[in-house]
This record gives sequence, C-alpha cells and structure tokens, in this order.
Amino acid sequence: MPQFDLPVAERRVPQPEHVELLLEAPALAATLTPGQFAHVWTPGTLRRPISFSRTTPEGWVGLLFRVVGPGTAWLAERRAGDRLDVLAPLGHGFPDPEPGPVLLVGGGVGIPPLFAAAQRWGKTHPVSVILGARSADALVMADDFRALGLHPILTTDDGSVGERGRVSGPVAQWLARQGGGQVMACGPTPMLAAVAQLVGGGRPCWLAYEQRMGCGVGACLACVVPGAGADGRPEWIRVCHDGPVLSSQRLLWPQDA
Amino acid sequence: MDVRTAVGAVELANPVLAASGTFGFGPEYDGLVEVRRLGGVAVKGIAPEPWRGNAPPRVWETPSGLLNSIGLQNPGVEAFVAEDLPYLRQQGATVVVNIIGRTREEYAAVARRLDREAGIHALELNISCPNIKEGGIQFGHDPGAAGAVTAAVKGATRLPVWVKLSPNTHDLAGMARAVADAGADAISAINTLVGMAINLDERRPALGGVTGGLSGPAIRPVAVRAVWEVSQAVDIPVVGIGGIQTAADVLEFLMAGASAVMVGTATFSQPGAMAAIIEALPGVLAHYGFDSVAAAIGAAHPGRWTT
Ligand SMILES: Cc1cc2nc3c(=O)[nH]c(=O)nc-3n(C[C@H](O)[C@H](O)[C@H](O)COP(=O)(O)OP(=O)(O)OC[C@H]3O[C@@H](n4cnc5c(N)ncnc54)[C@H](O)[C@@H]3O)c2cc1C
Ligand SMILES: Cc1cc2nc3c(=O)[nH]c(=O)nc-3n(C[C@H](O)[C@H](O)[C@H](O)COP(=O)(O)O)c2cc1C
Ligand code: FES
Repeated sequence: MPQFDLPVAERRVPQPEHVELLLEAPALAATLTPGQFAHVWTPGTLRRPISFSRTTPEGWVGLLFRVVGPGTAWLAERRAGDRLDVLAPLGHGFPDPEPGPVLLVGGGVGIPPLFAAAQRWGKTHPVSVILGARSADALVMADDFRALGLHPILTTDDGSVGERGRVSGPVAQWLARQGGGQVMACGPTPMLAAVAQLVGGGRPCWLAYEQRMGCGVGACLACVVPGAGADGRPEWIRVCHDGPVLSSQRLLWPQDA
Repeated sequence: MDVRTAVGAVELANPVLAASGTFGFGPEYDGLVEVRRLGGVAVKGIAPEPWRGNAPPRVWETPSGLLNSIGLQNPGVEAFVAEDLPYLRQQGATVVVNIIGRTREEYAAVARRLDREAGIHALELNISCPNIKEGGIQFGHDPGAAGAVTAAVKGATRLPVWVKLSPNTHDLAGMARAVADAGADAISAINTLVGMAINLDERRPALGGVTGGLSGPAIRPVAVRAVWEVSQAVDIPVVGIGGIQTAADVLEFLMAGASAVMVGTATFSQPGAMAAIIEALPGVLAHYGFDSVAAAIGAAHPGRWTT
C-alpha cells in the first residue's frame, strides 16, 4: 500500500460538525474498493483512519468525517490546495455482491463507505438504502444517494427527519420482504450487532468495523476484535488488515465471546 | 561519512533498527519500508507457544506519546520460524528476535529453537514488558532473576544475547550490571513506562488491559538518562530506544553512550521515519563536528566534554 501526498481539491460541509474533503487522486480512485480506508496523517503520535466516501469522474476521492477530537478538528481546517499525507488504500472492502438485491445500512459516520458501495453497485444490482443518525443534522449523504436514483429510508433517534427510532425496524421489514439478498452495513458497533442478529446466518452480511488503530497496516496488533477462526476457536482479527469489512459469520459478538 | 556501527559482534550498516512490536515481522510495511536499508529489524516478542494478548482497546494516544497494552500477542516460535522468518531472511535484513517467556526455561526454549535457524543475528530478551502480569515483569525488577534468565539463555544459544531493560525500576545500573555479569552481549534500553488513561465517555480505563506502556517522544528524556547511566555502569554496548523521531535524536542517544538505536512509535505516524533518519544522519553528524557514528558514541560522557 503506497503513501500519497494529495492536494485537497474541494472542502464541503454537508452538516454542522461534518466535513468532506475531496482529494485529487486519480491513481488511487482507479483502484479503490468501497469500504477501504485511508490512514491520514494529523499532528500527534497516530494517524486517523477514515473510510473513502466516494470517487468522482474527475479522479477525486472523498473523506467524510465528523469532528470529534483534535485529529478530526485539524482535518476540518484543511482548505482547497492544502495537502494530506495518506496511507491508502488500506484493508479489505466489501466483496462484489452476488446477483440479486443488496441492502445498504449506514449509521452516522458509517454512511460514507456505503455511498461508495452505492456508486459501485447501484447500477448492477437492485440496491435499497437505510440510513440512521441521532438527528437530522447528523444524517449525511441522503441527497447523494437520491442523485444516484436511490430512495433511502431515513431514521433518526429523535424523529427530526424520517422515521423516529433505529435502523432495525426498516431492516427487519426489508429482510421479511426479500426472500434472499445480501446486506452491507457500517456504523456504531451496537448497530452492527443488531443488523447481524436480524440477518442471521441465512444470507451474506458484510460489516465495516471500527477499532482503535496504531500502525493501520497490520504490524502492531492494536486494532483487534474477537472472531471465530476456521476451526471455530476464538481468534483476534485485525480490523486494519483483515477488515475493516468482515463477514458477520467471522465475528464474535460480546454475547458469544 | 562512516555511519557503520557494531553492537558487539553484530555489525550494522547504520545505527537505526526497527523496535520490537512496532514493525511486526517486516512484510506489513512492504512498499513503505525497505528492510534491508535499515540497520536491522527487531521483530515482535516471540514465546514458545502462541499468546493471545489483551482485550482491546489496545492503544490510546497521549500528549507526545502512546499507551499500548497489546499484551505480547504472538504466534509462537514454530509459526514464527515457518511463516515469518523467511521473508526477513530473503530480504537480507539484519534480524534481532525479541523473545519472551513466563519462566527462565521458556526463554531458554525459544533461544534453543532459534539457535538452529539461519538469518538471525541476535536475540533480544524482553524482560521488561509492563503488559503481562506474570513472567517478564519480575525479571525486569530483580537483578538476581534477570541475571539468571540471561545465563539460562546464554547457555541455550550461540547467538549474541541483548537484554532489554525496563525503566520501571529504581536500580537501572544494578540491573545492567547483573545481566552483564551473567554474560549479556548488549543492553537495549528502554522498554515502555507503565502508564494509564481513563476514557471519560465510558467511565472506565481507556485500555482493555487497564494499564499500558508509554512510548513516543514523551519518554525520550527518560530513555536518554537510562542510556547515559547504563553505558557508564557496564562495558558492553547499549542500544538506545525511546521516542526517537529525527537524526538529531539519534545523535543525542549516541552521545549519551548508545552504539545503535531503535525507532518504534515514530513509524506509526511516518512509516518513512527510519529511512529519513538514515538519510539525514551523515549531515547531522557533520554539522555537529563528527566524522563517523563511532566518534559520537559516548561523546557526552564525563571527561570527554570538559575539553
Ligand atoms: C476503519 C475506520 C474507518 C473510519 N471511517 C470514518 C469515517 O468515514 N468518518 C468518520 O467520521 N469517522 C470514521 N472513523 C472514526 C475516526 O477514525 C475517528 O472519529 C477519529 O480517529 C477521531 O480522531 P480525533 O482525534 O478527532 O478524536 P479523539 O477521540 O480525540 O481520538 C483519540 C484517538 O482515538 C482514536 N479514535 C477515536 N474514535 C475512534 C473510532 N470511532 N474508531 C477508531 N479510532 C477512534 C483516534 O484515531 C485517536 O487515536 C473510522 C474509524 C475506523 C477504524
Ligand atoms: C505497540 C507496541 C508494541 C510493543 N511490543 C514490544 C514487544 O513485543 N517487545 C518489546 O521488547 N518491546 C515492545 N515494545 C516497546 C518498543 O520496542 C520500544 O521499546 C518502546 O516503544 C520505546 O520506543 P519508541 O518510543 O520509539 O516507541 C512495543 C511498543 C509498542 C508501541
Ligand atoms: S492498527 Fe496496527 S495491526 Fe491494525
């Protein structure tokens, strides 16, 4: 995985406290798999992992993040023309789905990699989209999905936009309506656990995971989550190297571990 | 400019090695770091059998530093020899294998197994990791135990044995003398300092292992002082470790008495840090009036700076 020094082509503010940086990176754009991430240099000891949100016809790639601490605050200050030092593309993204319906489920800042997935598979597969957030001002990219001709179902905890409540309701309805299909999801870990439980073992379910990282390249063993090895025995999975997209079958949830 | 150096019998093309636990087994950084350009690579600590390590989260950033509680997860010596060593051997790297154990016998067992393998240049005994409750930690505090484990390993291998000391002890010089007397060929200093952070949102310790080891620039002055003290207490060479980010930092360790250095945490932020240091080192040595790495070693020791 190479290291790039990428100019910021455009800075967008899709919601308060959320910034999307579009980076000029034609070589990278051509090789990205949705779900892969960048390990971005920020001042301090560690880089910050951010998923790619989109690619554009100009050969740009997007990083969309919420400002939660010093690293993302520094990134949010970048302007067009500034440069970012990124290691990318890192990790394994979503696999090519089988023919048939695909459900994309995104929560909060888990939405961006699913938009990248919609860009990739929206024309080849019947794609449904369910997006959730705390409130309307934390729900990103709904218009981007609409621009692809998709009709995202929206949920918010406070009901400020879409249905009030969590994504689980609409996900359960979709699963009941579709006999088969496959699910791709990214969001807070409790949301991923809920989605995995609803989908069960019957259909493919791919989850883009988060864990605190050191190196980002598989060397330091910081970013592990509990999984089941080939023989069913517990093993640690490195999110940066084996993930961040993992089959729900490989993961052990707190209740199973 | 002559940047070659030696740690006892181990000759190094330059004094910059990758620190154990921060560089995996080498191939993880393929495309970013050319391992044969480094002075050497110290691999992740290896035990006789696989160790599972601690629960996540395993890292937490702190001011100018990093707390980790990996807990010495490792694949065990057989898997290391079969799957990881061949890459480093094929790259022509100078390889230092960091070894860990719960008992003296376990350390000796790993050393004995590795003695038969080509492509290993030295063993580094981690008797200092703060992330395990049993084993390593008591060796790191008790000069008698440290000397005994060093002697046991020396008896099990012909490879040079470096002993990596903990800063979490009140008698560093005593520890250094004990392992030197037991036959150690060199001393690596330092491992991480024990620390802790609280996750305010979750109202619990930030690390799954509760406490962790502090590394990065925050510990550099502690490491410089350790190298200064150890290099004057014993006659064997010292490998300096702790918070190194630049060629000037390397020179600081050399002048404090180190014969070589290791770079760890800096690689996470900048995978090219070691290569950049190696490239800048001749200019920095020249700037401060040295014509070789060898000339800088111990240059700040008492008696040498009064001129
Ligand atoms: C594979 C992956 C993809 C991600 N993609 C996105 C994305 O597309 N958009 C987005 O807004 N966020 C994303 N995140 C979360 C993002 O990495 C954190 O929000 C960010 O690192 C916070 O840094 P900070 O300095 O602003 O905050 P702080 O909380 O001060 O960070 C302190 C430390 O904790 C780490 N950290 C904090 N929160 C997280 C988290 N949720 N996951 C992992 N490490 C964390 C930081 O990297 C840093 O080392 C992703 C995380 C991972 C692992
Ligand atoms: C994530 C991580 C894992 C480490 N694992 C080991 C290890 O297995 N064995 C060991 O002797 N030291 C280990 N260390 C300590 C480093 O080798 C080094 O002594 C320490 O980090 C100080 O150097 P630095 O400030 O350049 O990182 C580890 C450090 C880090 C940050
Ligand atoms: S972050 Fe270092 S192994 Fe994943």
